[in-house]
Amino acid sequence: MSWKADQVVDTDVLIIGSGGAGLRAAIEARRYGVQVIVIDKGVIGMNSNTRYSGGGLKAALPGILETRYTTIYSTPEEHFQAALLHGEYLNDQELIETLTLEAPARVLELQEFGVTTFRAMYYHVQYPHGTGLVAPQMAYAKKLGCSLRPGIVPTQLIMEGDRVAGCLGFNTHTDRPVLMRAKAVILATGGAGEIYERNDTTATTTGDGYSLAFQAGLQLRDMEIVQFEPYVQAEPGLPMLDRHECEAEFFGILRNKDGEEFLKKYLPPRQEAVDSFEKQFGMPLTDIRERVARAMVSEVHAGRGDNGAVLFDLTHVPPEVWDADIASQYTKAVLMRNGFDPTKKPIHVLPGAICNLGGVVINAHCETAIAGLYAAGEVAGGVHGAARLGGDALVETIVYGARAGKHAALHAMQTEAPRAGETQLEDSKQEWQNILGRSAEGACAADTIKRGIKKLMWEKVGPLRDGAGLQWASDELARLAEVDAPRMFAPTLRRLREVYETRAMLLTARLVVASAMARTESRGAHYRLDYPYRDDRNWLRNIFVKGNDKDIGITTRPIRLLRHKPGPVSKFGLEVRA
Amino acid sequence: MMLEIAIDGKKCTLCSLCIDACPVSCLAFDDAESIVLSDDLENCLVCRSCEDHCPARCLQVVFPEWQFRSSIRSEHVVTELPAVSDLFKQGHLSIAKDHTPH
Repeated sequence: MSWKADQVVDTDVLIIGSGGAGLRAAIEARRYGVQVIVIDKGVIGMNSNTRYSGGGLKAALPGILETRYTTIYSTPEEHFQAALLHGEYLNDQELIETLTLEAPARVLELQEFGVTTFRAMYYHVQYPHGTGLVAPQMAYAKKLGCSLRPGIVPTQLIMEGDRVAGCLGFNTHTDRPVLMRAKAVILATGGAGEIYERNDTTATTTGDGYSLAFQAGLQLRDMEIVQFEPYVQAEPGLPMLDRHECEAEFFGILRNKDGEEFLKKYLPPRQEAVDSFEKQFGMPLTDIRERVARAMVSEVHAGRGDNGAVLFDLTHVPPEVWDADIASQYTKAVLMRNGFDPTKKPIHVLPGAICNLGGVVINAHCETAIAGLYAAGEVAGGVHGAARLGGDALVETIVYGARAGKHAALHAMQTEAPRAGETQLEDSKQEWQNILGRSAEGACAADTIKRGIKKLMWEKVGPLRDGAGLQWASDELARLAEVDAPRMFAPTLRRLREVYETRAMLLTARLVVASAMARTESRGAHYRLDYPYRDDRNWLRNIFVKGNDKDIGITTRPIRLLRHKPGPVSKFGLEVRA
Repeated sequence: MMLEIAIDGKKCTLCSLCIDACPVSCLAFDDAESIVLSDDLENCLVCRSCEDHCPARCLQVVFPEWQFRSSIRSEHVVTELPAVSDLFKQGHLSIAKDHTPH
């Protein structure tokens, strides 16, 4: 492996990550006339969770945004109330209020970028559904003159005094060390679904943003909250793919190995008739995913699972429903290709991680505690609280993407260009060279550590958690961090990227475990078997983590009650101790 | 009836864009770091991201079942939407005022 010459780039606004939030931020910042560079460790935009998402947007746009797959509220206030009830009051009320107020305008504004298609439409036109959201924004950003640079793996944020001055990394496409100096930096790296063995996210979501922010000394909040998607396939030999976003699957019935419709035990049905999920339980699946996921895993834990999973019965779905939309047709085709006929026998499904709801602490301007550093999208925390309504994540990318872009651009216009970074680049090159030069003997493959993290996180820190399991996971992760992680080797730059991804995954996993151990109650997506109740007396608090690799410090602060006091009822069927 | 990712080794420039573009890590370099090969095809989502990103056009996802692109239902297509500026004028929309940062 030989390095080519260093690449040093100066810009006004640097955006790390090119999913929904990154692209939206780029467009907004560029509207203020500043120079914008978007970097991504892989390809731009097209390998993001936004693209592989269901493409659902939630905003109070009655009559315009109408779909039966998610509830649409008639006013932002209704949306706000629903999100707060669903987030079990862990939300930053300022952030969620801003989201709901701004969502309608931002959703309609997407038309300007060429997103002609709202959920109901691109749902039927192309797969993956989110392409209709990413591709036009990418083209628009390019048209405005944003520079989109793929293949750059950021390894460290650089500081100048107490403000951010850019980032360091290397380019896996050109083999060059890269120093990106910028007056303002926006983190839009997405979440860390990949830390779980079972996930519904792309393989690139390894928590890089959490790691960059934490290493820079920032506080992260609510890291214990991880949302799980219920209907992720667990059929051997079939892709681990979530398929609930298709017409046919709304008619599916979950059964345990005895054929019992177990969901009714956990979630009281509104009517007995076998019909779509929405009619049976009174709300769309996307608005109650956490509870369905928990029910499925509980059933498996109780020994009523089939091969460690539950059965998803689609055999009664009429043929016209299978033909109704492209997603159903696609689902059927992909299953049939592997010799699996969903009309003849039920599919094995088990939940998988879909979204990390915690993250970097931001305010409504997307500012972090470091001057010039902004965060938007999944990497930022506090918007959704303890659980998330379907459609709110994509709306978060466009609302907070735009906000981060605006405020980063305004900051960049009033700031001097930074000069730091040359010495840090030399240090980093030395470190990379050490890893690249390490021989495979006695070293540890990043891949092995990755698999270890994923397995233990899914087994011990999944939808059901308990004190002993968390303690074991914590010890095991500490061992991996101390013994195995420093011995990782990488013969090529591509493997070096894997080393950095593994480090980020390890750190994120430790933050999740540490926060989950601290929260001795159940709330939203976080469920403790040893504390199966919502404890409003002691735990109307947010958990913050801060520190370094060796020492993760935990603090808690009471939630900021700006407008609404917590109600006495939990949407997740938990006993509330007030 | 079988899914296959066909790679034309003569045209492939080893740019690795297809590996970057794959959401489920189906594609990888082999041990000699020379040839791009399809590793875990059972995970393939048939999203065709790799095909779209190949600058040398040497990669093709062969999946004969994928023939339903034409059968798009048109009644779900939202065609006419009110202009954003009109909605602002009528007072239906607002961009939230910036709160004072805490």
